Amino acid sequence: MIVRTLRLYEFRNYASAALSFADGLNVFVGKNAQGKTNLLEAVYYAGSLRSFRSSKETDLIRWGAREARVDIEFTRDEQPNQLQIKIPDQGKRSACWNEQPVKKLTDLVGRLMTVSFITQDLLLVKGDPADRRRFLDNELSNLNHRYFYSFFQYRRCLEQRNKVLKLHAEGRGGLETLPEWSHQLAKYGARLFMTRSRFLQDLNLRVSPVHQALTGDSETVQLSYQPGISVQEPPETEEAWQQAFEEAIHKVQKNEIHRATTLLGPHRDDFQIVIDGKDARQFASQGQQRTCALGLKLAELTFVEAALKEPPIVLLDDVFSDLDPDRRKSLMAFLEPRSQTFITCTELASFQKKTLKGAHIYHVQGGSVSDGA
Amino acid sequence: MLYPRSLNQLIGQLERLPGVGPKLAQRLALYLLRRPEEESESLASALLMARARTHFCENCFFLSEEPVCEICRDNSRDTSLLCVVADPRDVLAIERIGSFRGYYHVLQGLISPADNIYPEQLKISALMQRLEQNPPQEIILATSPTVEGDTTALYIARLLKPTGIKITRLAHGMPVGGDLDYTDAATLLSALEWRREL
Ligand SMILES: Nc1ncnc2c1ncn2[C@@H]1O[C@H](COP(=O)(O)OP(=O)(O)OP(=O)(O)O)[C@@H](O)[C@H]1O
Ligand SMILES: [Mg+2]
Ligand SMILES: [Zn+2]
Repeated sequence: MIVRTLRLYEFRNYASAALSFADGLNVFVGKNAQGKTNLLEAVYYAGSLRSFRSSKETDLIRWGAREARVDIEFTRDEQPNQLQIKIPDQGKRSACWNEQPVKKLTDLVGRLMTVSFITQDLLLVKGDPADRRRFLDNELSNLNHRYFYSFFQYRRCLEQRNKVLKLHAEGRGGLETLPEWSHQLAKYGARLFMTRSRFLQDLNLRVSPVHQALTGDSETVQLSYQPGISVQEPPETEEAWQQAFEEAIHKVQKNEIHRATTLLGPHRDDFQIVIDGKDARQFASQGQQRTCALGLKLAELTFVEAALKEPPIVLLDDVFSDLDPDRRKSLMAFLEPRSQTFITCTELASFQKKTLKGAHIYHVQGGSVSDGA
Repeated sequence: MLYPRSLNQLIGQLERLPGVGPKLAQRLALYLLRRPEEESESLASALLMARARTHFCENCFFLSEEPVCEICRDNSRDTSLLCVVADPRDVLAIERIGSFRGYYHVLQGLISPADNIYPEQLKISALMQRLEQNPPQEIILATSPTVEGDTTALYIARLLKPTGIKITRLAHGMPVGGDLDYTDAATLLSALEWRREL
């Protein structure tokens, strides 16, 4: 997958910008607060139809403007594609795919596949379970439409079921529909359990080699899924997950009615990260947290690459400031042969001369970009 | 805002309608004021008339000017089939096709505790009473393929179980004549899930 061009109108601090990109490495260099991350965000947005930093869509519109627009051209399977998304300050956003208006924008999720590493990803190791669930949800939603829809359906069931329990506790509603909500919760929950469990099993096989390539150490990293219901062994099929979930609900239902909330389910999931036998969530040093999070993302990159049969776009925000020179070198060596990569940095000195040879360099200053390659 | 009070009141009333935001409410109000007075009068009287004359059919809860609606009064229809829908609009949609000849029951909504809609707010007990008097051979649960639509169907199916009446659910799937290519992902997924053997 290759991004050919990107045009922005009234997007973040860009009034308008038009960029074309090279196949391999593209570097956005500039001082702080000039708009480097905003460029990555635009590419990410075109792939996932959500921002990696704000939950409010209208944050993307340049202050005082009425509508932001992102136009992007990219190839997938060597086919050229064009995507245009408009984000108005009021009303619904709209999009065109290859010049055809799109009815359901969510169908566009994952057409352009990106794997990104941004500051917030550091939370993968030491953050809350919610941070790790967000990682799973973001990645799996982009890759898998069924997961994407099941995620929203699960959330809706959970909201409804919690409302039933809450209103009952307040003496304002009955429990007569609880069996149906439990059933639906288990049905959609099973899809999330199954997909997350498979994903983590696969990622677990990928993460150690990547981590070792990155650090040059022989540390092993292990990921293990901690689903939000207790199971002896993770079930192998969706039906088995559903059954396990239903049984678990059955067991805690009394308690749930008492506590007025849903106690079990994928909304309680987490996964454990173990570096050389120690739980990284508790014991990892700053440096270990960083390389471990980056390793996870790179393992995900290889996962996506295998699923797509071509490399996705890689977006790296400010990674170099956290890495020593050896690790920078290993990172670039890891990426170089495979992907089109976008990197932001504040100075080119963080790169080796050799790396920059074929690269495209863009100087970013106050919401305008000059091509300096 | 500097509009006169009476105009503001009109805008405020329009804004409360579903699907009408502040911008559209303003546009509609200004439009109505620009048009001849008769138009406003006929709009107002149509509204009051519809309110005064239409009510829910006491049998199926579709809309009617009589106590019992036209469909329920039609003796030529098939008494063995009863189609349960959420909304009067669903009756119209099925009637438009012209191939369903059974009767209807309009629930007046879907179970949704988040919106404070419980079974008792819906016409579910009325449905049960209706079945005691005239049980059909088959009940088609034609609620939408959403979380709430499915839950409502499952709930009613549970209540109906002891009656032994055959219960079916509308299939979800591909639009006929639709290109696989142009079908949205959610529809395609449910078509795959509801696939059947040839
Ligand atoms: N909606 C918006 N409209 C206008 N400007 C915005 C908007 N959102 C963010 N900005 C501004 O864009 C500027 C650039 O942001 P960006 O995060 O891209 O900087 P950066 O070049 O990555 O800086 P750093 O090196 O500090 O990470 C910020 O100063 C921010 O205030
Ligand atoms: Mg930045
Ligand atoms: Zn009727």
